[in-house]
Amino acid sequence: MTVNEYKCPNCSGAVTFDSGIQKMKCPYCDAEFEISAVVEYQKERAAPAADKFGWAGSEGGDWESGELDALAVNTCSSCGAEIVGDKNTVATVCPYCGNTHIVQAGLKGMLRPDYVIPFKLDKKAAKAALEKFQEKKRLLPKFFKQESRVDSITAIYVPFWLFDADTAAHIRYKATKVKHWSDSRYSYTKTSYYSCVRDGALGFKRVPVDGSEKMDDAYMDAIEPFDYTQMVDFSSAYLSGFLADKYDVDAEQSKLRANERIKKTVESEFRKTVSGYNSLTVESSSVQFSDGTVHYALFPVWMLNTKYLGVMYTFAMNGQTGKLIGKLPVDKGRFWGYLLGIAGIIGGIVTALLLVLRHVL
Amino acid sequence: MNKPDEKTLNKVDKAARAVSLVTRIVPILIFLVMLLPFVYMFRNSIANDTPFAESRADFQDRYVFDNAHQLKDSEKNALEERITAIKRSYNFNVVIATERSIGGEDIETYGDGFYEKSGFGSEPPGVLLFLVTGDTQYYVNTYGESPYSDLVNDNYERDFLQYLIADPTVAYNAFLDDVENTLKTAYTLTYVNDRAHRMTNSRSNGGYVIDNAKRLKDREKSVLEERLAAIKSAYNFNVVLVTEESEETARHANDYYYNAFSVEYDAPGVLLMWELDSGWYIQTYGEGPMGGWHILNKDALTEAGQEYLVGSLLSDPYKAYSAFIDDVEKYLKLAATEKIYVNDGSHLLTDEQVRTLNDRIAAIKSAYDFDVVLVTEETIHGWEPMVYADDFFDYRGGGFGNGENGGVLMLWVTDIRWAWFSGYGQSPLGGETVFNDFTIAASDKHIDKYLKADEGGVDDIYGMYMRFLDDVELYLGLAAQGRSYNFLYEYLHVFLITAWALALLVALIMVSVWKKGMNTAKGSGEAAAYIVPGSLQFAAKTDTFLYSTVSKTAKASSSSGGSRSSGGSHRSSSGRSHSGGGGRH
Repeated sequence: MTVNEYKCPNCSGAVTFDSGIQKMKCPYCDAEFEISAVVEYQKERAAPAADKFGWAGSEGGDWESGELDALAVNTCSSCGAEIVGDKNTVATVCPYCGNTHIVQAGLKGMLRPDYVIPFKLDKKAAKAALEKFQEKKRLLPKFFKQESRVDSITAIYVPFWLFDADTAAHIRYKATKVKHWSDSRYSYTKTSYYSCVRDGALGFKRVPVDGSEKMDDAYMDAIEPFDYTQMVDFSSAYLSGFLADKYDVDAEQSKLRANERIKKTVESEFRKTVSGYNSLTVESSSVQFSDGTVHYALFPVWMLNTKYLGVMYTFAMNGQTGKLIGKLPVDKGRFWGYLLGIAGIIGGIVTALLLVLRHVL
Repeated sequence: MNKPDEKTLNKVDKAARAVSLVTRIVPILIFLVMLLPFVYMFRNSIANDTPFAESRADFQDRYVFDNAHQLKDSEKNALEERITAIKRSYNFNVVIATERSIGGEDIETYGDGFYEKSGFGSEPPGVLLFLVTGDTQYYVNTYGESPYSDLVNDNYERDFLQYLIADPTVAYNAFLDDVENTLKTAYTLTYVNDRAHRMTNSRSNGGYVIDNAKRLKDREKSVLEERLAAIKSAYNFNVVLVTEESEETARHANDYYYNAFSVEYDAPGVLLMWELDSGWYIQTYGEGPMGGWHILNKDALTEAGQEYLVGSLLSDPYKAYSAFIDDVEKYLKLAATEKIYVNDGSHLLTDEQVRTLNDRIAAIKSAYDFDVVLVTEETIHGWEPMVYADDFFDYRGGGFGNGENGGVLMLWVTDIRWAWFSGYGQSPLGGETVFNDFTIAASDKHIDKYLKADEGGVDDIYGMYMRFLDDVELYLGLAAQGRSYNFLYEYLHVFLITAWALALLVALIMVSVWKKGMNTAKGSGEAAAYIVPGSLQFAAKTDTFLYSTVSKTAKASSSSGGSRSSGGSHRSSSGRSHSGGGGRH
């Protein structure tokens, strides 16, 4: 006969049945439990599963005959970026480092993208977006706008891997509800502990992960989302007059980031369904991926580089939606000036108010 | 020979039966009579072991109830003798009781019940030492309203328990030593707080001069009586002169004082007792600000008294008494007519400090027509600080605060470490208006930093009064401008620190938001935008209760030992309205 040992949900000690109270009781921490709760908890504890990421499906395709011949790769001699364009479109400035020494050669060793989102916004829109981005930035150095020079504005198709996946997740939380009351002598706090289990499924469609090592992941995450309704099957015709970054992070490497994003989202969405508690901690989490497929796509991005006091500042604009992101320099003097100025004004007003009230009351 | 007739025979038979009956009954009666002493002894034995009897008479003036059988008879008798002597000298009961067990009852309840039911409850004040040998615990309590009771309680510090078990005779004698010493001290102090000691048999002749030793001529006596009656009339103060031949025949001063006048407790006065064979002593009565203890304080009276009493009481008692009365009258006049604004009864201030305080008080008086009275006392003998302060303000020097704005009195009592503030006057700048509950609480808080003796530091009484005068000037200055010292004056620094901290926080949040807007190149790291709509489905969604815990914490007590008190607006004995408040420091 097998004898099961039940663990205390509170301290993990072995709990035993107390015939006096008709409940399970922990001899170590004196916590008492309904039998069904302990059995259920034991079952949950016993079956934690590791995350499993199952990916399959296509990753790009083969070039049609003649397509590759019309394309060329421009290699930056400074940062090594490989920019793909048609043979008539020559990259004069590297969109990543601003270097002008570009060497053109024939394209080879690159998969054919599955999809492309064509550029909808032009250079003028990118410039306007940058100007607008700099507006009302109180902490921007005073002469940044006047003295900074737009070094280059480049339209570039950025390689993205798009991940589709169905996920099944099993997450167990430990939750508490706290109740306070008091009588004339004591204040009481009752903490009730719960084991919450969420076992469900969630589907994802085309989660993008950029395939360019030189392109800052944070930048590419930040210019999302792209409107997939305007995404079309790839044709090299869309590259005409534009440059495309040749992916240097392949699908396999990108899966790590995709897994991370999807798992984080699943946990976040599941957590939203556990409500009404004062505290919630994840005790175990298992996310299983199935039917995962990967596609290769090119998304339109305007890259803008400006120089101020010898430092390069890079901005990126979603070539489809116009969303511009980037990092502007912060003037420390202005930061502290504003901080102390605002504090001074508020503090001064309140001080004056208190002094007046002191006389009035 | 005549044969006896039937009638005669019947008579003889009856007589014989009567004799027989008597001979049977008499031995029984004799036996019963012989049993009586044993019954009596048995009854006494029961009484010895029964703590709760119906009346005091049941105990035949016993004071030692050794139901735990700790003591030998000789030891018990010795203790009884000592206790009886104490009773004779001080009219104070000392009761010693022991039990082996009290069956789990509360020792205090049991002990008090024993004392009451043993018949001591209605008698003069007394003390009980009650030991339960089985539980090795003892209980001491005093009974009856008497200064002796208080003194016994105050002085009772020995730890008897170890002796009570090991060597009870030593312990009980040590206890009696303590009680006796305490009572002796009570008799020799120059003040008495005698609420209950109203004994009869006074040899008072109804006047202020009780010359039982016949040391005064009639003319002298009547002159003295006249003077004392005049003092009584002018100052409502009893001065009693007593002569007795010997200490043995003399009763305690209280007997003469209280029974001579049938005065109420605390009626102010002084008694000069001269026992020809042992000497003289002075006893004062009344512990309020106009009472004998404070007006004729021991320094003033005993130092002065030494000169004329020692010198001439024996040779010329009339002259000595006259000098004594002169002195008393001088102090009474001083107390009744002279307004002294700095009354340092505890001698905590130097002359220079008193001068400085007086100068400041005079300046305040001149600017605001407002009296500030500062008082230090070593003790106020259990009086409430509020009553003492009010009475001091209303009666000393003929009463303070007679100007337009009344005034304020601050009292510091050294033994109980209480400060009390009493305001009088309801004009806009009046003491009661300016010294309201809030300002009194504020001043009480301000002076606290000068009173550190309780925390191992040193009291700075001068600093305390200087700070108080700062407060008085501030409050009056504001009142003169139609303003009042409110919480924004008292806590401005707290409000300002909070306001500036919040201002800095608000500014920091604003600037941080701006700074965050300077860098938008930050992804969320999530993929919520790519969830297939409607794909979230749960196969299991359970919330199972596991267990619960309850913790409790004791609430902080709001009144820990009455360390602060507010008198609010109240009427003093003079009928004046006062504000008041203060606290222990």
